[in-house]
Amino acid sequence: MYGTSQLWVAGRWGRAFADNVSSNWWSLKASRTDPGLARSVNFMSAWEAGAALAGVIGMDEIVAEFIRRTILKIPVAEIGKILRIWNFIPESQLKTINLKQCKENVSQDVVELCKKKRASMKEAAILDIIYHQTCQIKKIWTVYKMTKAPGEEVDLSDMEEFKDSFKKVLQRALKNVHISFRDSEDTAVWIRIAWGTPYMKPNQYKTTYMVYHSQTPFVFISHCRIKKYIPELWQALMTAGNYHKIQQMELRSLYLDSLKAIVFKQYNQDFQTYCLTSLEEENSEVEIVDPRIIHENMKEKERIQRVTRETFGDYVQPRIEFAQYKLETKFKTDPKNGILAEREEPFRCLVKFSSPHLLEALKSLAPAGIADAPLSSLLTCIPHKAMNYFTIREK
Amino acid sequence: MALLRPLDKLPTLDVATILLLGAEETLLEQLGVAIIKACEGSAKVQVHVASCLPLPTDRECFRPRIDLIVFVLSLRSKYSLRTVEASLPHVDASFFLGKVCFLVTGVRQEPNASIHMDTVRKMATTYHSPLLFGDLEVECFRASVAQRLIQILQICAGHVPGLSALNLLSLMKPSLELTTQET
Amino acid sequence: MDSSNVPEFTPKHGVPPRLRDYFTGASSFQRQLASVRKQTPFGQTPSRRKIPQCSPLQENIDPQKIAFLLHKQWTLYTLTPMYRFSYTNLKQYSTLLKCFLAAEKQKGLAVEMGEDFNFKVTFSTLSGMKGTHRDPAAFLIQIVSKSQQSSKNAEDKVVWTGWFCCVYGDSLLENVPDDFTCLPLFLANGAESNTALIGTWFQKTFDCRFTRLTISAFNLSWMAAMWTSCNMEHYGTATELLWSVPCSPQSLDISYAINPEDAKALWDGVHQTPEEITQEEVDLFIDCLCSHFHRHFKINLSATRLVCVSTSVASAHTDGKIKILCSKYLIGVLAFLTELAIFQIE
Repeated sequence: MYGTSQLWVAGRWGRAFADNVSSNWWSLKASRTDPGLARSVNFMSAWEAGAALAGVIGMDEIVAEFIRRTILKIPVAEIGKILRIWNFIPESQLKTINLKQCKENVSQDVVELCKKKRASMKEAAILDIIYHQTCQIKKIWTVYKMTKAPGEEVDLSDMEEFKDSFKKVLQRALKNVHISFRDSEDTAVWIRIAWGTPYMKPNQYKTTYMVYHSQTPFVFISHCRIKKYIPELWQALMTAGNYHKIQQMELRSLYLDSLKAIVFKQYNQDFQTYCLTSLEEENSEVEIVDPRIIHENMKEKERIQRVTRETFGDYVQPRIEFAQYKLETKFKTDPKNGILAEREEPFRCLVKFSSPHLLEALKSLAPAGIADAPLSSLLTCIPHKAMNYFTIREK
Repeated sequence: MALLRPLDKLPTLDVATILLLGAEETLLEQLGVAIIKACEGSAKVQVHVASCLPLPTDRECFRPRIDLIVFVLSLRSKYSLRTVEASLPHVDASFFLGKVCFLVTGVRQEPNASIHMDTVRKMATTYHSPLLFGDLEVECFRASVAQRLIQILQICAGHVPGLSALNLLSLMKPSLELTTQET
Repeated sequence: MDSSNVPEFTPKHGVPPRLRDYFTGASSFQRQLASVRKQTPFGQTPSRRKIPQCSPLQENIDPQKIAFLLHKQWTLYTLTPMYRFSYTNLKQYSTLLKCFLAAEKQKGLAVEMGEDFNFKVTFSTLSGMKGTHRDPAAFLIQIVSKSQQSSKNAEDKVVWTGWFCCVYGDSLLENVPDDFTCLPLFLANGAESNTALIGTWFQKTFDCRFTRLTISAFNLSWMAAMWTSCNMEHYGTATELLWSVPCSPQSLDISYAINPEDAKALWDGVHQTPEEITQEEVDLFIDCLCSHFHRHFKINLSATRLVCVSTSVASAHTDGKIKILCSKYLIGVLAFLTELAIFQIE
């Protein structure tokens, strides 16, 4: 039932933006005068129309400031690369920017060039997406899993349809919402949402990022402390993707690629291939020991190596930075001292592990003599269960 | 489990055997390498490394007579103290007649200390064995510790004419007694 | 080369008597420390301590001043005894220190006091901040930068605060000569460059020296036990122990937070002697927590390093940063820190 109206809307949308400001005005007026039409075009929000209008006069100061701040966020080494991917400023003009000067000046130069081309928030948002795609470890991503209603498991939706429908549902609910899409190389679409309300302009500095792979039930979301609009976001996602239910998986990380590897169960294949070299180095490290030294506990050492290999595999682990365990278990220590032995209530603790590369760190514990081999399954199950937030209770 | 005894095997000709024991294996290995390097060309020394006692029985027949046991503790890790404490009951009492010493590492980084020096001193006094200090992480200190250990090992193995392990212990006694007096 | 590492074989106790007299005569402080050593078995640290108590003298402290000291992060320093420091000259010291800082600023050195020379230095005593009457009075230095706007509505900004104290230090410092004032513990909050400059001024004026006070994992476990033992009406935060795992190539930090009521219950299970805490109890408390942890994760926390302890009473980091959260046990916390400071000064 969505099919036709959606396509029509998409056509209107594209034209409205590509053509000129007058058509924006038209759609704005239309939305005011014709209530029937309004329903289908109101995602051309009043604010965006206003921004587009500003483009005629010159670039909006808000847009200029946003671009300036975005450039300031980018590491110096990446600025040239990101501007090239953005492909908004022509190469000939890009060359005029001296990337060796201080960042403040670079950002000013970029803003000047953008002003000449009358950049709008639409382009600026794309620049922000590219920044986040290139410099990925700036956000904490949470994984959500969606499920289809029984009998509707077949997924035939098209990515373009998904985008349109998503945008439409969200803008119908909140009016002033700025949504941008950008396809990434690995068939995923990145969605950037700047939230606003019917009475407030979208805040371009507090955005929600989403990464969605079509044909998969997983969506990766970075909330940036905005939890208010989650119901609207779920509604839009499930309508657009034709899903029935959505639930959070207790899995979070800074590294989007590792999360993907974990949920798509790729880590034992993909991660293996590109990391073979580092593994070889690791092996040689074990054998550095002088052969003239006799290890009495050689057998035990070999067992630890073997068990570690069995639990973690040969490949380099997917990268996550933390794991958290809420323990609500009975307190048990050495039966000799019998401390708190009579206590029935659970001993409540919260244990957090953090490391630049948690699973690799855990892997090294037993060989270093810090942990037993095998390590507790509470820790080793992280990649299999695709979870890093746990609550543990007594069985 | 089997006690580790000092004189239940015949000595290997001209070879002195040292057993380095402690939880921090990399440190033990580095120390072992330093000992071997220091002996190159002069004396035959065999270095055995173990993380705890008792030693696995399946290697019993390959093991030569052990002339000196060095318990290596790191002040930074309580676990290393616990390992040594758990291993000590597996050593025969006659070993403590001069063929055991305690080596404490990580002394210079006081803020990192998890164990108090007193605990270690107390342990050495209880077992009537000398206590050596040296930071094994630093190469030059490691080398000098290795030199010391070789000298003690030579005596313990009976390679120094006119001196036995017990002699050495009684020579070191004044310092041991002073420590006991303080308590 | 390694003589310093093998004290067992250096004739430490064989120093000729005359030479020894010379040393102790040269600095009476060393003599005091020697007496401390005599009191405690095996050299340095006592193996039992009193449970932190509320000092009756604390009632004399202005509650506003206490509130000002709480919930701030303080960097800990030790301070050797000050020569000819006088509590009657505090006003004069304020002027002198201000002049010194202004001069340094004029030299172009990094003095973070705001835009211009418009700042104020105040010395004030913190009466009551002591364990016994014999402890010298604590005092506080503040550097306040005055804003240039009309002085009525503009708020003065405190840019740097530091305070000196000695709580229950008298039992450890028996005979401080008349010319010396011993406030071994110094706590600073503000730019480190300012602390360094003020340290220089103190060194020049009172012939004393500042050194950072670090807290070893050993003493952190004492803090964990002592602060858990405190009776609280309500708990603000969990009892949290932060462990740093020395594994390569990746570092690993483990935060182990225990519900404060459960931690207290465990402590009550461990604790035997009334009013005192013994080394054995501290060890057992930490060992119990480690073994509970090991049961779940198979990791030996005793092979890792304790770097931070935080409780509802206070929190402390191994690099010598502390936050005091509870006014009731302020004196107790300071008493332990004073003790650590005195032992580090040697």
